[in-house]
Amino acid sequence: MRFLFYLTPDMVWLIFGSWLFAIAMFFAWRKLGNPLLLYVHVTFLFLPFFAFALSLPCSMPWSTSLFQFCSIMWTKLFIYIIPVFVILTILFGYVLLPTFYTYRLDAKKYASPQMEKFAKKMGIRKVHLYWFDTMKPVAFSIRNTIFISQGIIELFVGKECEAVLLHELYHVHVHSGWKKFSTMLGRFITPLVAFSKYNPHLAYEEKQADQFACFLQGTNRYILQAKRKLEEYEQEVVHAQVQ
Amino acid sequence: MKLQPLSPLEQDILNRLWPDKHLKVREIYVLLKRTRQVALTSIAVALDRLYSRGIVNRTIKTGRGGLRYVYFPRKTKKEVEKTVLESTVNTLIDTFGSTAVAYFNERFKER
Repeated sequence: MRFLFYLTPDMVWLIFGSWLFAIAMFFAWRKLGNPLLLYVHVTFLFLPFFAFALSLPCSMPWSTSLFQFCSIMWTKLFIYIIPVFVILTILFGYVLLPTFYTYRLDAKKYASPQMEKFAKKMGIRKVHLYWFDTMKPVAFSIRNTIFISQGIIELFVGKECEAVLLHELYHVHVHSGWKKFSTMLGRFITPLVAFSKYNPHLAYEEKQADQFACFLQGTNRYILQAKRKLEEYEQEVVHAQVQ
Repeated sequence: MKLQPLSPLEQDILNRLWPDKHLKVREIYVLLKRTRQVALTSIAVALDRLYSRGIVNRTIKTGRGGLRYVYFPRKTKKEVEKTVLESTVNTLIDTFGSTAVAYFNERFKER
């Protein structure tokens, strides 16, 4: 009877309350964009499962053989592993992501006194700039590391490159990388995030990053030219493939 | 090695690089702009395709304005022409079979 824990009034309220709160946190995250709200949502979404694991009665002593393990213990172990997995994913995924991309892209450190000057003005303590060898114009940032491809340097003139760097510096400043990573992780863990539209805050931050570059350069000409060249490149690649 | 025919832009680019010139993307752009309407991105894409197909090679050189790709031909004009012809003829024979072979025989007889 203990196995059917959800029939007890306390457990019913726990499940109902947890999931209601989880849904509320999901909408709060959608509205405010704070990744912490997403993690609170995930915690309360899985809380009933932990309550279930804790309520399981199996108290069989540890056996010398794994095969004599109580099958319920396996269930408990599986449920307890979930938060460990999430925490490890966050720690190793987010912390080591720049290193992963550095090796994957065979990226090299790239000195840019111009970027360091802007970073200092913005109060960003340390920003790393890496360059990788591909003609495709690509720029992205993870934590406090910005990656740019040779394509950006080849195709963009000085001020356009500067606009791209300022755009990415904004993302570093507002920790967009953490928000993107959390959204991506949320898509794997929780169905509400998986089935909802892409985080609207990320789209808003893209616009803010463009406006930031325009503000510092005093004109929107260079960021618009850079975007136009990116689009032209993509169209040209498609056109060449069709040919 | 199967090689697809070259696009007119790719041919133009290769004509500028042969026999053994080392040119940057912008240098090729300046040369081609004189004779045709072309965008820098089109040249960049074409050169990248030629590089991925192994027809040209590239190195990175540091200069004024930072790092730049320098492209140079990997195959001679004759080698490329031979490979493209071989690939085209094989495709025609695979597609049309004996009709293609008969046609080639007729044409060679006429010549």
